[in-house]
Parts: sequence; structure tokens; C-alpha cells
Amino acid sequence: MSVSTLEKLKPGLASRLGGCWRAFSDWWMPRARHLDVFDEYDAENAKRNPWASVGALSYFFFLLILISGFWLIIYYVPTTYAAYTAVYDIQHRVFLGSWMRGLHKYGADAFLICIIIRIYRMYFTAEHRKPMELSFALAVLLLMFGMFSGLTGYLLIWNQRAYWATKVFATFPTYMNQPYLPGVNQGTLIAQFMLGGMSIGPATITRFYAGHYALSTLLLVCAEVHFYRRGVKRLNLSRFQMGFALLLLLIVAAIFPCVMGKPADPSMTPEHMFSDWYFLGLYHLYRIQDPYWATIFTMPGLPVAAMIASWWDRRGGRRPLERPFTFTMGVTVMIFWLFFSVCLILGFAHKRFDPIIYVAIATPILFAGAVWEIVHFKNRPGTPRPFPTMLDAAAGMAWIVVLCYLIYPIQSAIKLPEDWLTHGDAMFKAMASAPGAFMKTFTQANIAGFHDGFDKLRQWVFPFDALRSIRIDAAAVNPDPPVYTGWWEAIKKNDALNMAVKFYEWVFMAAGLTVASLIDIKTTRRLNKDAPTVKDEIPEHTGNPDFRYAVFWVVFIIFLLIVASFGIVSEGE
Amino acid sequence: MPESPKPEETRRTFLARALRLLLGLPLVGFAVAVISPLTRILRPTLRPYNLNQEPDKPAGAQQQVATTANFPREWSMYEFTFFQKNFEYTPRAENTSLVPGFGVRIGQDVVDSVKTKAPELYKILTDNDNINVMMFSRICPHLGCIFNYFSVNDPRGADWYPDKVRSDYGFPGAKLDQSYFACPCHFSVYDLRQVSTDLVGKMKLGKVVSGPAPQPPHLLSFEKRGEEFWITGMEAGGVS
Repeated sequence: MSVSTLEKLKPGLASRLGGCWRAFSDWWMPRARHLDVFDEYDAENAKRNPWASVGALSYFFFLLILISGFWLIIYYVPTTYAAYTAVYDIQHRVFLGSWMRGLHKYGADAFLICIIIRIYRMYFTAEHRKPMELSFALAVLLLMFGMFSGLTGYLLIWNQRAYWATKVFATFPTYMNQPYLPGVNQGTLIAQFMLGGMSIGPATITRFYAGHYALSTLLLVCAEVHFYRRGVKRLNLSRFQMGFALLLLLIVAAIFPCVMGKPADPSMTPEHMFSDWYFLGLYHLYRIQDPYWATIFTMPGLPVAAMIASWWDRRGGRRPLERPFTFTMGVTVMIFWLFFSVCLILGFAHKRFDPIIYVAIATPILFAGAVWEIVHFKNRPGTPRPFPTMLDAAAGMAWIVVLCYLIYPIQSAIKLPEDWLTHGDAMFKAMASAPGAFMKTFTQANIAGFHDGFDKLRQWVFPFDALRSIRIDAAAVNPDPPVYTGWWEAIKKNDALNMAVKFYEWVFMAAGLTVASLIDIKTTRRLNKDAPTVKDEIPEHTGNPDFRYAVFWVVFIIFLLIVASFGIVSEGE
Repeated sequence: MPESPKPEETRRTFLARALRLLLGLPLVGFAVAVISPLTRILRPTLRPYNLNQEPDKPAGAQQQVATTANFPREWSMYEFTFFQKNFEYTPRAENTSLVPGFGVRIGQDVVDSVKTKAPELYKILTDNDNINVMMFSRICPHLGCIFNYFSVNDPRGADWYPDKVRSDYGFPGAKLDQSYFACPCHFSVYDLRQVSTDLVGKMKLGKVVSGPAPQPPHLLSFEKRGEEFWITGMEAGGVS
């Protein structure tokens, strides 16, 4: 490189980097200034609207959890052989032990209830719009923190439910080991990081104990520094509210004393076992989906989609009914979460049948939402329509699902030598020592895989072979394929037909949403040409605050009681 | 704020941009070099800067788990556990975990059908005067729960007959005269009379007929020494 090139490059690089930094800080600073972790900027609002105080309430519960947690760690012994007995002692012998444990467990449940209510509140009242995107993302992160703490804390009891929950939780990252990244073993690596080995043992309990304790302390420190630097009041709650919340937890702890379950037994998985209530919906997903897609969907997929939803919802007023499709989407997600949880408790799971029904239910709901959206904004010309709106994004996501259906058979059919899949060194050594032979093996494995994959894909994207071979005979006794007693049976049992139905359901949904979004774009463009722009305004809260608070606490108590009683049932005691 | 005019895109500016991207690569390498030792703290058995190292494989000791007397007739099952050592960040650098397994004497008709379809399986089932016994790890290849055995030949009683698979494990297609593995966590059901391939293309008994499991159950490698069955190892994969 000559000197002159460098000289030309240097100022360019500096200004380019500076420009990047400026653009980033222009984006970041207003959002960071509005960072609202526990509703500390909603003090005025919270006087009239109880739902604006759930953030503060969650921080109050967090402090209670910490205080009771410090009590518990004094008596707890984090080893595989003593953990269960130590918890038993805390429950039955230690002074105030059962109260503190109840406060800790039900406080954590209440914390999660508050976080979930807060996320839905922010979503339905469009609080996640500019400049509050980061606050919304942080609320989702807080939920993940809560779930992680729930999981790590649960293992510390070392009972059956905890052991098997941990095993499931630690095994699903291993599905991230995929042939397209041979030898990296990213999934196994994650599992080993979590467990401190390839089995649940002493190292695991140490790691989970450290994670459970350290992460909460870190959150406490960060939150306190945040409150201190901004000079805001940390708890926008009256003394009555705080006392009431504490009393509520104590009453629940008295009605439902925390249960122990049976000590962990690695050689026996109990039947009829449930996870914690906030994992139920996700657990059901694992029953009805391929583990690879279930992992992708639950771990990076769902939280990331929730976090970036704030960029998709920038259209219309801030009241829920002024954003019809966003509202429909939120309600659908909420209903499905509850429905999945109930399905898991009742033991419904049919991998080949349930997804068909769920998509068949969701499609008309979303289509209705899309029509509502089009009609709604047709009557309100002048509302700016940034791209993408939630409708466009939903169509895009449905197309991504369709794409996954197309990719997966090919991806899963690729077979690399087993040695390379688990042993990265072997692959790199082969690559270095004999590049020609390496390329040959690599392409051969891939070509064979691609061929198999496309063949599989063809069978259900164009399911004519399957349709031609299937015969329906309602009177058949012990029918063997391709004879089925009815079309539902055929859809359930015939591989190609089953995949075809699922695939074309998604194609139908994606196509329908795309058409809706195109119609919407066209009408809005025509209407918005001459109309004056409607301004985005934050609505005032009206109504009787006492009544609202009463409703809030009733809802909260019902939620907490359901959750607490489920905790007892799920241990099978 | 006054807007500065956009600089014109020429070949020179494009090349300069490409060069800058190239200059970024060492930065990424530096970041990886800094992060790599940090990841070693989390996984102490990792060699330096070698994230591609193979996953720590279990190192099981050789143990006798069953004898031929445990398998009096076709489809009889023998339940056992064996000790498996895993690397772990403890003072002893290992954790011994109890891994449960099933020995199943496969029916002669299935063994005959396997003879041409999967010669490797046939070899395991018949070599060394083996009486068609196959050793399975009970750790479900889906998400690691312990699955159960259901067969009319099960001496443990009606609780372990295949009609339970019909009612409790969400697989109404279960046939009453056949043998299944079924997992209570996510309702995966494996049919022991059918053969299918696992994720790396190996033929195995125990085709997934219901539920989300992606492959048939893991096999334990074993040897027959006289009348005794000795476990010699376990396939890598999954958490134990």
C-alpha cells in the first residue's frame, strides 16, 4: 500500500467511524434518556392508573425476594447430597424458614406476574413507541431474567421436577449442532457452559447457585445505580399498597406452604410432570414441534420478535382499539399462551394434528384483524403509514415460516461424516492435510443430502403421489397404509399429506396477510395524498382510580392464587 | 442541521471501503482471541483457543449388567443402570452419573427382517452367540428424559402393556401385541419392530412413530462374555 492511499484512507476512515458513532448516539441518547426500568417515570400516572404501577410493584417484590433469599442462603447447602435435606430443614426447622421460603417463592411468582402484566400493558397501550423502545426491550429481558432465575433457583431444591426440567432445558441447546456448521458444536458448548460438564451433577448445582444469586445481585446494583443517577423515586407505591402486597404474599404462603416434591432420581422420570407455570406454553411447543425449530422459535425467536415488535407498531393512535391489527395480534398471542398452558396440563399433544388445528384457528382471527385494520384506517385519512406496520411484519413472519418449511427437509437431510459433526479438529485436519479429498467428501455428502432433501420436499409440496395412493375405507378393520378410515386419519398418519396440509395452511395465511397488507398500502396511499397529517398523542387516563385499583388487585390476587395452587398440583402431592 | 452533500461513489471509494472491511478482520480476530480464554473458564476441559474441540465424551467403565438368564423369551426386557463418568468442573474433574438402560431380546421375525435391511444391526444381534439382545440407553434422544418399556411380555404387569401407550402417551395407533418405548415428558413413542436412521445416517431399531423425537434411541455398546453382558460404552450426544 502506498503512502498516498493511506493518507486518503485515513481521514475517510475517521470520518466514517465518526459518522457511524454520531448516527448511533443520535439514535441511542434520546432512548437512553427515557429508559424506564421499573415504571419510575410513571409516578403521576400511577396515581390514577394502577396498571402504571406494576413496574414499581415488581421492584418491590424483587426486594422482598432478595431479603428472603439472603435468609435462605444462610441455611442452604449447595451440594447434590445435602441440598434436598437443607431445603427440608429450612421448611420445617429453621426459625421463620417456611415463611421466608414462601415469601421467596410466591414473591418470585408475583414478580413474574407483574413483569408479564407490564409487558402486555406496554404493548396494548403503545408505550413501546419511540423513544421507549429500549424500555420495552428491557422489560422482555427482565422476563427472561425472571425465567432464568426461576429455572436456576428451582434446581437448588434438587427434587424430581427440578432435575428433569433442568435436563430438558440443558438438552435443547444441543439441537443447535447442525450440519451447516460442522465441528463447531455450538449447541453442546452452550449445554456444557450451563452444566459445567455433560451431566447434571455437583458442578451444575454450583453454577446454578452462582447464577441464581449473582444475576439478581447484579440487577439490584444496576437498578439502584440507575435510580441514583436519574434521581428518581424507586418505588411509586403508597405504604398501604406495599403493606397490602406483603400481606398478600404472607397469606398465600400460609394457605399454600411450599412443597418439596420427591428427591431427584436420575434413573426415573416421573409421569404427569409439569414445568413452572410460565414455561407451560413453551413446554407444549416442544411437544408438538420438531426440537430444532422449537429451540430456534423459543430461544432467540420469540424474545427477539417481542423486542423488535416496537419498530413494527408505529401507526395509529395509542389506545388499543386504535391499532386494530396490533391489538388482534396481541390478543391472539395471549389466548394461545393460555390455551397452550391448558393443553399441557390436560395432556393434549399430537405432533401431527395439533399444529393444523392451531393454525386453522389463528388464520381467521388474524384475517379478521387485517380487515378491521384496513377499514379502520380507511375511515381515518391522514394517519401516517410507516413501513413495515404490524400487518406487513406478520405477513413477513408467516413467509419466514413457509421458508423454514422449505429449508428444513434439505438441511436435515445433509449428512456429514459423524467424525466431523462432533469433532471439529478432525475436520480441520482433513481440510489442511488433503484439501482435495476433503472437498470431495464434503461435496459428496452434501450432494447426496441435497438430493434426498429435495426428494422429501417434492413429496409434500406436490403431494400428488400421496393423494393418488391413499384409499379411504370407513369400514376397514385394522387398516394399514395407504388405506385409512377417513381423511382426518389420513392427514394424521400419512407423512406427505400431513406436511402438505401444514405447509399450505401457512402459505394460505402468508398469502392472505400479504394481500391484506398490499390493499392497505394502496388505500392508505390514495387517502393520505391530500389529507392533513394526524398527530400522535398520548391519551389521558380518566375514570375513578379507586375502582381501577380495586379491579387491579382482584385480577392480581386471582392470578397469584391460580399460580400458587398450580405450584402444589404440579409437584404431584 | 445543514446536510452535507453525499460523497460520490467511485471505484476508488468503493475499493477504500472494501479495504476498510478487510482491516476489520484482524479486529474480529483480536476479539475472538480475547473472548476465547474467557469461555475456557466456563468450560475448563477446553484446550486453549480451541473452541472446535470435540464435546467431552463420557468415559464409562466396563460393567457387567445382565446375563442370558435375564432374557428368557422374545421381547423380554431387563432394566439396569450403569455408572458413566463425565468430565466436570469439580476437584475430581469428573462426575459419575447413573445411566439407566434397557436390554431387550428382539423377536426372531424382526431379526430376520433386519438381516438384509441393516446388516450392522444383524451383526450386533447375532454375533458371539448373542440371543438377539440389544442394549438401549433409556435417555430419550429428544430432550433427555427416561423412557419406559411397554410390551405384553412384560412381567411387571398390566401397567406396562401397550394399551397404556394408547391412552397416556397420545399414540392411539399402538398395537397391543407389539413392543414400544414411550417417554413421559413429550410423548415420543418408539416402535421396536421398525428400523430407521438416526441423525448421522446409522440404521437403528426403534423408529419414532409418534411424538417429537428426531431419531431412534441411543444404543449402548456391549460385549457378550460367556453368559454375561458387559457394557463397554455409550454413544455421545445428549446430556446424562
